[in-house]
Amino acid sequence: MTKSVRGKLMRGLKRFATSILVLMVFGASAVTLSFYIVSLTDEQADDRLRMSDIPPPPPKPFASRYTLWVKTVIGSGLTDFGSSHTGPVKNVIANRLPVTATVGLLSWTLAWGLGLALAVSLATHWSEWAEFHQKRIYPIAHAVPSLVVVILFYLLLIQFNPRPDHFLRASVGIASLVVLMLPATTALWLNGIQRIMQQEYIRVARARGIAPIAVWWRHVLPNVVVSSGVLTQAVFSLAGLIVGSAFVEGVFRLGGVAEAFIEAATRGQAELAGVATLLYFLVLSTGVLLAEGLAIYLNPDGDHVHADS
Amino acid sequence: MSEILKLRNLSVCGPGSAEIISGINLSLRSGEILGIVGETGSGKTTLINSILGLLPNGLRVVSGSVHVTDDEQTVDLLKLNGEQCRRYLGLQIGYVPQDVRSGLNPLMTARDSVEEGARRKGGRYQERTESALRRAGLPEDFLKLDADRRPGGLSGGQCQRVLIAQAIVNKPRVLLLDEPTASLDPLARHAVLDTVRGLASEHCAILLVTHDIAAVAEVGNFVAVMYCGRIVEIGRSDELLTNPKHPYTRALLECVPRIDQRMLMKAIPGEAPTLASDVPGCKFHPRCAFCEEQCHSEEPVLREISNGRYVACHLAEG
Amino acid sequence: MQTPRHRRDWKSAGAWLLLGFTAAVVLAPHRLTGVPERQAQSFMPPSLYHSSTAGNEYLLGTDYLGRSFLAVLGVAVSATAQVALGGTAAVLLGVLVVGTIHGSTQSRLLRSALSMGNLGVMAVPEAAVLITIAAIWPRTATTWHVNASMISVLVFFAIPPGARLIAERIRAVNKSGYVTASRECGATSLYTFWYDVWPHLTEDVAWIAASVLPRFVAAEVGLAYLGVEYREFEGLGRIIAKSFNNLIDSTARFQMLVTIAAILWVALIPQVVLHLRSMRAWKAESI
Repeated sequence: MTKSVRGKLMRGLKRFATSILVLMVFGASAVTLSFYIVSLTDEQADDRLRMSDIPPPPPKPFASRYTLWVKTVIGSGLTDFGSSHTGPVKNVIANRLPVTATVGLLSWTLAWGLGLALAVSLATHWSEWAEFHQKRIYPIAHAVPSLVVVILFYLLLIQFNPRPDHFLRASVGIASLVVLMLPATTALWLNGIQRIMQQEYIRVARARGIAPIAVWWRHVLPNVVVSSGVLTQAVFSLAGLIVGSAFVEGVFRLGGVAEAFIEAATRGQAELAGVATLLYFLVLSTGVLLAEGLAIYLNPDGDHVHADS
Repeated sequence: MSEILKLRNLSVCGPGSAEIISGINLSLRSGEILGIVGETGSGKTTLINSILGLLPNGLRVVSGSVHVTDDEQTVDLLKLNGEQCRRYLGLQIGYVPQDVRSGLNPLMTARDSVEEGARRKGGRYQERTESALRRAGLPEDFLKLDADRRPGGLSGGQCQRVLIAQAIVNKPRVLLLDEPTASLDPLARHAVLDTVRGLASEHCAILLVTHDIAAVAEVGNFVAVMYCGRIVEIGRSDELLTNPKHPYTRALLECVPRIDQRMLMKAIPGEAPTLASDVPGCKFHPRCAFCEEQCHSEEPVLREISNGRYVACHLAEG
Repeated sequence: MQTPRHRRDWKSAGAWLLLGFTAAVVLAPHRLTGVPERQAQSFMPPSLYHSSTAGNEYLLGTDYLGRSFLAVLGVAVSATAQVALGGTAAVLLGVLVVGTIHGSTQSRLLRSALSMGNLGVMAVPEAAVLITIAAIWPRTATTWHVNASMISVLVFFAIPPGARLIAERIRAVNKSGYVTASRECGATSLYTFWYDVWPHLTEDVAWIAASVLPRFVAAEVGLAYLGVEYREFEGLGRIIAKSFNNLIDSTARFQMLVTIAAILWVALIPQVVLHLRSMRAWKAESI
């Protein structure tokens, strides 16, 4: 192994290790904080629970409750996450995660994939519409409250099918999420693509007779991914979606993790809130590490410089 | 020797039908180096872009032809579609861009950049890649130590040679060089010009677009002087540079600093007309010291005043 | 293809008229749309549909409590818009103060704080924080405390990205020759800021306002739907939530669509103003 290759490898590993460390600290703090804040709601939760005839959880001070929870989680080898008023947290999450993750992953893939396809089309065939999208459609779509879009989709659904089954509700929920995200993902991709397309090396690649598909695959897209912040945004949106979109789950009655989190927060179920937060940071960490790995693979030197930057 | 690249009456228009380049006629034979000189905005780079079919948005070729001859046939590039054109770009026509740093993909190593083009021809592309890097003037040490670096880790001179290697890896018949010496130090410049001369000796026809008149004097067989999108003078470089006939060529040569003479350089008075302004008659007449009545109204055509010497000036004589 | 000028003028006049009416509703809803008091049966259909029925005095029908829906809507628009405008003003103030200090000084502490803030804003879901904040307050807490804490979360989430944008712009302007010249001629910092720097910030400030105001509207509407709304607050979100629970009723469905239109209008007001501004600039250029 040459010295320079070893140096690059070390630099890459250092970047990776730093990312893991930052994420661990960030995640641990977020889990602790969410556990602490939600455990403060006990007073209100007790009131509500008394009214609904469900036995209230025993009031415990944060420190002992948190320590017990951490001990339980670690002691069980991540198989026991404590209990909520509706049963073991593990079961609550296990029942809800499949639908949330499916909706999240599908809508994420569709929104970013369609966004890329649309951005490529706007940058090549429909260039006269590109500016219109960036200056008109995107800002307006950005300003529209997401709940409104989700409700409109629901109204449309019940107009055609007043008793939709779970599959149909989930499908239309996914469609509403895709429509919500599409203007933003298209704008992000398009912004990066337009910047890279102006670079001299793209023109040079064409002048060398490189096939258009290869120009996109080897020159345009890797540079867009590395230099435009698309990767970071995509990872954060993935983490948010996998843990759930509260509006879609609520409006389409899908029964996902986000709904469980809201219930946990309003009823003082700190254990459930802690696990939901942990889940979010696990997905976020996996996404960040994958993104970091891709960035290191595409650009091991980490010194991406463009003429205009 | 037959002509490899032949431009006939090539005109390019911009937005609002403003002529960017007008009625360009040029031809290049194998082993010849034709230097094209002129001020910024005279249309030199647009000329190269129109040959390559890479005109920016808003510009279009309105008339003319770009004929390229290979082993089998002569084709007009302007009549080919994108896919057909690709058979010539990179294989029969090589191109070295003006901007050294941004001409290379920042995520690809020097070797990969050259190899990408070499793969198009198939066969022993790795050997051809190494050979191209050597022919571009990069030393053996570079091949061993630096060829797997990305542009960020290379010097300007190294980047320029990688770009040249990229252009010549498939041994094209025509090489288009856009300002190849613009951002190089004197040593790197000298080495690049040596490489250009070497390529010409391998029967490659070279079109060298540059501000660097000294570079053309050093390596060029012929020189064409462009002003306002038109060729105003063309001829053998030794004749044209020592005995310029067009007032613009004369003024341009007076702007070239000379190391052996301590004298103030003369700037050309006025500014080149913009695309929007429509100057009647000779485009150079508002800046010309010898301007006459005829120059105001009648645009001069490029005419032969002596053997192989063409000038677009009413006043030029053989 | 361009819209003919006279049609643009009409559109512009119409938009200004609607903006003026909205401003009047925001400032004095009771005078314009009436006081929402219980007067009739719940979900009485609007007179527009059944002019012959007894309920024809209610232009948009009545809500689930038998109040004039128009009056309820007027009050809700006013409440939502007031919170959104107040919150946006707080964000702009924060963004300008932090951005100006960050852009004019080399404070590493502030730079690190803003970088961390930006990362936090991206990594932490705003909705989750809002929900937990809304839930921790005991029932005995005052309305003001609960609502202020929730609005503060939104304000804090909006400041780091905006401040960074403003700081970058100020740094770029400060590097220019005319600012240096102005300072060397003895201009005070305030004078330089007002005459040389501020004109370059207006576009960014307008853009920040246009992207922040809808977030306040979206948060209010969304939280109300999720049942963790601002306390004692009759905004557009509450109407949506109540209509959603009564979707079987056609009047409720109609009222939901009207409410959605009102939400979109309030959220898009900054975009409309920006569009009208750009039209005015276009007119000035063409003259």
